[in-house]
Amino acid sequence: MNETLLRVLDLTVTHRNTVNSRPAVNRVSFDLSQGSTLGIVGESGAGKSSLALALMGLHDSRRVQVSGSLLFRNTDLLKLSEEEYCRVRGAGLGMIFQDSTGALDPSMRVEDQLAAAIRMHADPGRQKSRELARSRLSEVGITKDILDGAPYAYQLSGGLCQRAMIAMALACDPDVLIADEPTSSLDVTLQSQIIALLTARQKETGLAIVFISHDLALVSLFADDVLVLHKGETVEQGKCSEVLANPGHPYTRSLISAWITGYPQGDAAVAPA
Amino acid sequence: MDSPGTYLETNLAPGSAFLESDVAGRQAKRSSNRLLIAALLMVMGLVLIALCVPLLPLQDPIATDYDHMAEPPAAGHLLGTDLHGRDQLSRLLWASRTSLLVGVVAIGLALLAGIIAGGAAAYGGSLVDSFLMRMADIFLSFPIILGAIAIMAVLGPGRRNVFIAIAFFGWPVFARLFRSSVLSVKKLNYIAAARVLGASDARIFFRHVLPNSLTPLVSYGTMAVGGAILAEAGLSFINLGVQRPNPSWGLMLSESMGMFEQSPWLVIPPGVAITVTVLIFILLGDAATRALDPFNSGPETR
Amino acid sequence: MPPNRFILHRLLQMLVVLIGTVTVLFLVIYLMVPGDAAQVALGDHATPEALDTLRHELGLDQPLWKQYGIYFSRLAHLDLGTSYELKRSVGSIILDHLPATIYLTVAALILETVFGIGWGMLLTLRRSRRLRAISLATGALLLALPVFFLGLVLQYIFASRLGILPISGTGGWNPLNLILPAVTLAAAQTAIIAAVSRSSLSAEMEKSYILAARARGLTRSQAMWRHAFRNSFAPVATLLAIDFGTLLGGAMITEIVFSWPGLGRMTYFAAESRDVPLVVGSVLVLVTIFVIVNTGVDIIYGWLDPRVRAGEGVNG
Repeated sequence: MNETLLRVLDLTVTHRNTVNSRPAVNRVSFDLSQGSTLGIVGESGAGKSSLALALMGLHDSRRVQVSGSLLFRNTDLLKLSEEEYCRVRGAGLGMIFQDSTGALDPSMRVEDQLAAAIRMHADPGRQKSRELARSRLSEVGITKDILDGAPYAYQLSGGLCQRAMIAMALACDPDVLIADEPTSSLDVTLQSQIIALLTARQKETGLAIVFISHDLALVSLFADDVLVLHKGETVEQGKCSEVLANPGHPYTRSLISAWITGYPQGDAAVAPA
Repeated sequence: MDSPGTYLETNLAPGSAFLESDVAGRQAKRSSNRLLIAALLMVMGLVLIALCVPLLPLQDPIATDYDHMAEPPAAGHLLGTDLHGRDQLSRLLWASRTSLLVGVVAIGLALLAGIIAGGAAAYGGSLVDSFLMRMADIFLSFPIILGAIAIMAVLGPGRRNVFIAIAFFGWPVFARLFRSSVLSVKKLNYIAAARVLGASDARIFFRHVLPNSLTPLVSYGTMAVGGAILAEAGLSFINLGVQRPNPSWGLMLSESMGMFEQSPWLVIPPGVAITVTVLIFILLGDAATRALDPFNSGPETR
Repeated sequence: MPPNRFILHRLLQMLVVLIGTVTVLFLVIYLMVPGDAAQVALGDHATPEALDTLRHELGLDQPLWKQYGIYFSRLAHLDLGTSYELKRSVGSIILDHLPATIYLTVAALILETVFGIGWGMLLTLRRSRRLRAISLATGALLLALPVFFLGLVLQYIFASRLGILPISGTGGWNPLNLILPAVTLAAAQTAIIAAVSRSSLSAEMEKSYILAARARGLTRSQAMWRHAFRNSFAPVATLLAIDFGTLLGGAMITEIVFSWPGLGRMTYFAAESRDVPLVVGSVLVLVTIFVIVNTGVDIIYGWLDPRVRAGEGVNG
């Protein structure tokens, strides 16, 4: 059951226009199996989003070069043409974003967008897909009443938009979901709700999740493995519990010590700075 | 947060032409400066030609010669003669003066009126502002050609009235541009800083607001000159502009209307002359826009 | 503002513009004509008595504001006066010629919409540098070419030389006759529409929801058609509405070149003979059509934009 879905080896992302500059992502490698969660942690500019886009093949190839090997179910995605990659996106790899309101079409009603997404991958007909859209939205907490009062994305709150966006991504039934800081703009309560949503889905379908965040504390709550990124380089990688217990790299240690409630680790005294 | 290009925290931010590592950005800036210089040279060339026309050994552009009507290009007449026996080449060159004069003067007038109106609107308080902008709207609601025709029909034809007609309908755009430019510059921090330091309003306006607000007007203005030249040609074409026997490219085309087959030399040169002149101004406008834009955003994409 | 207020606001604006236009035209006639209308009508050799009689008839001996009132009330009754030259009511002359102009203008509008937007889309999807360079050059050329020159050249090539299209006239509403004049009229605007729709589309394609759509497996062109196009249409729609007015004005020259029996050509002949009521009348009609169309598009588009419908108000 726990097959390896994603094998990333020496993934490197460089911008073509900047010479003499370090790559945005430098030789990152990891494996991701069904039903597991990989947390990728780093500060702004560390290359997290570059990595996410590289996995999805959404970089502009004229400006950005992606090298290494990216095996999804034994197909090297980097060798695919754009059309072939389109087939992998959505059904194989899905992605959700930090800005949820911006991720929805402003001129379409939310349920219509979801219905369209559903029809894209398994067309059950117009009427059926509309019903399905409504039920999927209810499942994530957006009820019929909410939809009737606020059918458009800009009318929904950040938390609701986030759920709608997740429903859209999951409507395609992906094997792997890449979540790029999906909770960074939400308050703590909403954060835990979103994460609960994702982990529930994971239990149901064996969804593999790559959870990108700047918040190591958050990630440590539910990720199986963690990868710490600093200026494009992997500075720490391994099982979550091990990394937190014995952080090898000073950067990781600084991240951990930045928690107000400290995680006991070695002899480093934990005090609010 | 947007798509790949801006989604990433990359170092291709605005102003990146100044970063050492942005090779393509610097190249883009260099080539846009080169373009500007090329365009300026071309415009200067045009102006030079127009200015020097009286000094050239040309035949009289309005002297008729009915013994040599509509003759093809030959030794004595390098571009042939028109229906009245007048030398085409000479008329062509003299007409350039008209076109350039009209273009520059009409737009100059419109620009001036626009700056005054726009400035008044931006500084004069909301009543003045609404009034002026409503006026601008009314003028803008006229398609320029129709309006110019109405004015010409009433004022009578002739070159001087062409200036008025074009300026009459051209000022609103400049007024709007200037006004919005001024309003946004006024909000900038360094204006507030200057005021804190004690600079008077007038000083602030002339030293800071004005120069920075002129940028969009410059780029629109140069293209508008091209538009004015086309308008003059159009008006002359329908006999509402420059009157016979004075030479104007539009007039030359209207006189040779049905004669493409027999006398192409009467039709092609003036048409090409207008096109090339306007093209040069469009190029200048485009180059000026690119060079003046301080946020020359890196390599051309999208 | 809520939708009904929005519509009301726009209609009011339209009314103000129309009244303003009428006023301006009135002032133009009565204040700017060297000599006055009677003089223009009767010519230089008129006797003073004849001038006075005509002046009294035309109401020119009344104070200005009274003349304005008369003018306005005539307009309210749709009386545009009588043509000096043709001795018929201006209204009927205009009605005779209007259909041909509208036929031509609509054809040109359709051409420029389809080709302009299509060109813009092509540039958005195929981002090759060479294509962009060629487009820019072609576009600049189309803008710089005077309408009449283009018309003459096309006439020569297709009608005289190749003989596949008729030279002039409507040919009794024969669609073949429509091709050359419509293409001539639409050419320059097509370039502008292409530029605007390309930049609008490209900017929209950079947004997050397009990225999200592609993340779901849509190709760039699918994302453009299904999402970006609709959201980036506003500037193009505005331009098209403005173009309608520009076309109405530019139609005059095209109509002359192709001997198209429309309002523009008629206005030209009227202007030649200084037939002021006719010129003013047709300018008024054209401007009114333009303003109504503009307001209509504004209203329709504002209504379609869900944000305005919901009452949140949008940038004018």
